[in-house]
Amino acid sequence: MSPEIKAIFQIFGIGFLAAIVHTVLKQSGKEEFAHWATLAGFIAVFVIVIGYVDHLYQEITSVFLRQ
Amino acid sequence: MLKLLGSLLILVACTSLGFRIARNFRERPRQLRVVTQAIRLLQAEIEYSVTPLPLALRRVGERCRTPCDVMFRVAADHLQDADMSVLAALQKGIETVKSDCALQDPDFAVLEEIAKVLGGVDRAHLTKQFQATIIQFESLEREAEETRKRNERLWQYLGVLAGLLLVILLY
Repeated sequence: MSPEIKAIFQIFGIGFLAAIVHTVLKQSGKEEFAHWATLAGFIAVFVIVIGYVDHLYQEITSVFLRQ
Repeated sequence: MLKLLGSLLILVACTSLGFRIARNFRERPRQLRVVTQAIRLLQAEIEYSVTPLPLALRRVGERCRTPCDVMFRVAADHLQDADMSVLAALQKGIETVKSDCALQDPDFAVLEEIAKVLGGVDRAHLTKQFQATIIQFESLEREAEETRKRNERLWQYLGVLAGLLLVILLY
């Protein structure tokens, strides 16, 4: 599996799990924790995505600005 | 292959951790019922059969399930062997079971409260004290039942989901 496809599945999985955790926590009356869990999931995804965005920027600068 | 094995181990560890925490929530109402039952038995032993306290504690311990059995037996042993107050003996018993039972500090505090008056007051006062203790334990049990309903399933789910999340993040 190429790293990009892997990342997509990873992000999908994290989103899915974060949604389930949110529902479970909300059902047992811990709404504030539910929001924190969602935020944690968001940050985890963000950390993964930021690596790829960084890579993209470097590609762009190497294509257009290195003359 | 090694990766798969590792993720399986993480998953199993997190799941069992979740179930372990959930078990505490499930056990506490049950153990509170056992303690309430034990207090009732102790009251009967003391008030109707007029059994001496160490013997009464031992008999109650024999008839109850964990954690009361060990707790009362240890308390009875200390009461008989050393020249201890009832409170100190019961505290020894509580210390013995504290680490591996689901009861919490407020539950033990109620037990210590009754231990303070055992053997020190007249019969009418003792009856009232027993009644008060039983009522306190019943309200604690209701509260524990409420907490169990909210938390047991939650921790089971959280354990599994946390394991899955870790596996996905590390894979």
